[in-house]
Amino acid sequence: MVNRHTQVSSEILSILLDSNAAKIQALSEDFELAPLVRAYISDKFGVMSLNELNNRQMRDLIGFIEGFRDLARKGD
Amino acid sequence: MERLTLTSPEEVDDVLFRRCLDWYATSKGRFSLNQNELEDFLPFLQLHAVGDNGSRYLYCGAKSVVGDLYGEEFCVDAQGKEGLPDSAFEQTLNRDYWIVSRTETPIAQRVRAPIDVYGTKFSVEFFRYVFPVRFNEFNAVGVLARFAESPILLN
Repeated sequence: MVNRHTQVSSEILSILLDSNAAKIQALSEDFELAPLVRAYISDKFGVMSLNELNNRQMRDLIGFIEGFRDLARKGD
Repeated sequence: MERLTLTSPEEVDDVLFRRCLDWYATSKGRFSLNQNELEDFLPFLQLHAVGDNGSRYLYCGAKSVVGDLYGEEFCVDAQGKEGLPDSAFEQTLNRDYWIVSRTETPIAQRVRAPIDVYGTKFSVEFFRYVFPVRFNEFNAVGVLARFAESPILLN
């Protein structure tokens, strides 16, 4: 039972991570932000790749990209 | 505060400063171009969204002079902030962002000024290159600042 619970949790986490990674890619492509995303995760989390982020860190990064888009819209 | 316009910024004795000048010369500030070269100095850069009522940080590199003075934590949480905690220092340098944004013309300067860092006063002297940056259809301003001299404690 514990193993089944662990497996389901792991699968849910994997889906969340995949979903957030796809969202990050879509968000960052709009503004050609890939270099900035790499710089930000290196600055903030000390990692070089999205694959190294956990779900909380991915949500933080989505917040950073959405913040960028909001500021860009206000500056239009 | 003293600001001197650099007539030959390519002569500044700083590798990152020259890389930034080279990147701008070839990309004209388009963020999508020459990204390998851009990533060399991106962690040292500040990016600002500029509007008629001032500017806000889009990104502040942890290795920028801002990070050296105010710490990396200030930089990683800088997005959306209007500028440095020393508002008098910020306002004076900030005016140029609007000019660069509107004229789409970079400026290079040597700046010497006092700055308050969380209650401790320093004299800082640095080179800065302020240049237009373009993300698709969105215009912003990039700032690369590099210390010309080590900060001097004034207190």
